[in-house]
Amino acid sequence: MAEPCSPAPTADALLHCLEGLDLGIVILDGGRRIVHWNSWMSRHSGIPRRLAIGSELCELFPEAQGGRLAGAVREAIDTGLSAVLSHHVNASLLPLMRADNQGEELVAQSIIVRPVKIGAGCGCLIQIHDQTYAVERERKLRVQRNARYHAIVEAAQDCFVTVDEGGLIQGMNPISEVRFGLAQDAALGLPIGTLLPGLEDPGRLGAPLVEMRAVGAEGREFDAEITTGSWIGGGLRYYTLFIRDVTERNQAVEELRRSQRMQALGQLTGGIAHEFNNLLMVMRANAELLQDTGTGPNADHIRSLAAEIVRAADRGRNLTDGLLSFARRQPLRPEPVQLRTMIAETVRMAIPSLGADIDVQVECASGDPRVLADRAQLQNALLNLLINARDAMPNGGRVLVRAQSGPEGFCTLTVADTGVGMTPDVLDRACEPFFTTKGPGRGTGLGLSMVNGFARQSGGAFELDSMPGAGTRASLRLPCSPVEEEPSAAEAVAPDPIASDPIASNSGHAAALLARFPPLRILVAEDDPQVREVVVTMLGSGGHRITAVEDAMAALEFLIDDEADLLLADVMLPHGMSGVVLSREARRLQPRLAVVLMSGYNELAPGQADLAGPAEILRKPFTRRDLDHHMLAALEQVGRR
Amino acid sequence: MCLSEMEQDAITELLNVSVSRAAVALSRMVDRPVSMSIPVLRILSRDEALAALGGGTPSPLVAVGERFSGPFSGSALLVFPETRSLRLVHAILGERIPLEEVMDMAEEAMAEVGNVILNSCLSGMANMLACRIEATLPTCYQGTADQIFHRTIRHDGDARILFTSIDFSIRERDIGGYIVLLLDLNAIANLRQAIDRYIASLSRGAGG
Repeated sequence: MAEPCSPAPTADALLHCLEGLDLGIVILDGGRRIVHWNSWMSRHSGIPRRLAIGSELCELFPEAQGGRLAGAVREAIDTGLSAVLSHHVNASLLPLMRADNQGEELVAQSIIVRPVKIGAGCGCLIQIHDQTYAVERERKLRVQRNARYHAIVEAAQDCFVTVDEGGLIQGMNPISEVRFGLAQDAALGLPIGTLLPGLEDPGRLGAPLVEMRAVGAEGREFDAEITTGSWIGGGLRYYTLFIRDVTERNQAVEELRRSQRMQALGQLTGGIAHEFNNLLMVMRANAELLQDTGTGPNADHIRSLAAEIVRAADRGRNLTDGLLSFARRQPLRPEPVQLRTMIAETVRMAIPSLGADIDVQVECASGDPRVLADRAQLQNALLNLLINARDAMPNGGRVLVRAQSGPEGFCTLTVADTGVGMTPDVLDRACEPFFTTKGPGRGTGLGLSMVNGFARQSGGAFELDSMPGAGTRASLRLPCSPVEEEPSAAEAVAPDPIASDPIASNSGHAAALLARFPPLRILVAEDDPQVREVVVTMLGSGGHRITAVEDAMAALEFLIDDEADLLLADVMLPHGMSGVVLSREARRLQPRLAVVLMSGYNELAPGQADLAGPAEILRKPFTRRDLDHHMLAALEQVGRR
Repeated sequence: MCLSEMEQDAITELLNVSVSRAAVALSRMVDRPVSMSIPVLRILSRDEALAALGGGTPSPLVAVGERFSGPFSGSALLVFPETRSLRLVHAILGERIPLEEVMDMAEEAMAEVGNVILNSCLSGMANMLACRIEATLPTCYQGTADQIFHRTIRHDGDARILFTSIDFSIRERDIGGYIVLLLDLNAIANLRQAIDRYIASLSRGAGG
């Protein structure tokens, strides 16, 4: 048998329990006057019971007037409805304070209002729950729950941005705030299109991996690679975008692509120039021979026709020079060059061809910047840039030529015009050989490619900066030169005998030179039969004993049995052994052999030169005078003269 | 249950007036303009109401329900697709609240929003029909339409449901949901009488 129950509690006992409740209890009668006010309410409101009883809520808390609580009280008393009011949704409810010495902190409260019978009429019961601890606990739990996620997301150097399916931003990590220059508070609710214009249409969310432009802090755009994760929370789909700034990577890739393309073009043009030089060699040498041999009635006419061929071949050589310059295969003689003087000279030379509509201004940094570069090529480059500037300004304009020191170890020569500028497509290809926007007959399209090749071969760089309508700025960066190495101007511009005008060679002089040769035993190794034949013909009048072979093996076979004074070999020989290797092997057999190497390029690579030993390099196409000159030098090198 | 066209119009009108009061209450809570509208009232069977809510698919819904009693008693439900409910809560709480907090508060906030809207409807009807309707505290339900009905509406083949959709616009977000009123069988006659009295009072007012 269960123990008998205690008697039902009295009204007083019940009231006492009500008092002890750890929540606020207020009871209103049908006239909305307070009939009960428990001690929790007194404690937290600071209003004692004797003042509260008989008052209306709005008299005690004027801020509650017309608010949601007043409405809920009215509906409870008049209609009989119940209501819940939460601190989450309602910005302010009752101004109750914490009463546990926690300072001036307001109670986060949830209020329940429900109708109750008071005597014969209808009143209402208001229960006020202190949610402060619950709020704090929820916050802590949330922090704990999210700790690992936040540890990753907040340390990440990639941007994490969460958006809802409508594309509105729901959250972002700290690095996103920095990269996009936007505080999280300001970003929440913004459309993602603000940061990633490519995602203005939320239908594009959720693609696996995309690259697009992003608008970063201060409107600065960058290339963004975006991976999207999608998840569902509270029945809604969300997307978390992992945004990586790949601007630098893209630039590096683009730079690599460009340099590979340039390299390929360089190889191609170098190869073409080499083959072409062989053809020019044949044409030119035969034309020269024609000039010398004419004796018949039409001799003068033949000589003038031959002279035309020589001139055409020389123009052809200028073109192959340009190609080789782009291919960075030209011989450079770097020397200290004072930019101020060089610019002044070049501009003075250029002004007549620039025309009166072009105003040229020169600015040279103090400290007299000097570079280490080939003077003639540098002048050539500046001329090219000036001519380009002129062509970009058909209606006239201003060209600013500026020499500056820096960056570290370099000087920069800038030519800026106020011309029509270039579109990104044109700019991208401007340094390719034969790329030109000028009309037919206005340029070879080699100008900028030569400048570019020259800059790189000189250990510097060349950059173009342009926008349509905003002019073009060409910057040539070259290594600085130590100050004390400046030679006298006369010395610096002294013409190089080899580079002197090939047209000036004349057969009379050559004959005089030839006369100084004793008859020699000469071995010619050249794979191109036409070139071989013309070289043999050139040598023929000297009384030499000439043997001509077509590759290095044949040459070596000859040298094993027979002696030779001089080897005249093409650098590029077929069947795996070059003229360079041939000269080394030939010297093993005959140490005092003089060597002249013929090359369609301008000079040997450094390793090749060492390999060849003492040898003269003869550039194709060459004249008989060039040939004699180099043969003499080669004989001197091995002490045969 | 058969209500004349005029009676249906009268209830739609009642709900419209009540809901506009709910809009005022909500806009006061969020300190933003809130607009709400109720299109035509339909009277559906339980199955028809289910179909109208779920559209035949068991998509998750959120509902806030109150039982009410008085001259006519029954249940009132405010129903949203789950996706819409979170959007509603987000719109009410403000876009500035981080998502994870919104998710934590969703149920509580939803219960309160439902409470405001349903109470406005019930008190509006009570006022205009000059009667007293007592209602319980709101309860939040989640699940498919079927599951929610199972917990809130007695299975009754004859039950007739007053069904209307409700459209909100808060903070430039449009949110659509449904109000479902299920009247107990004995209540229908009382409701009709109350409505007829209301119509009569309107025509008297118009006539005098």
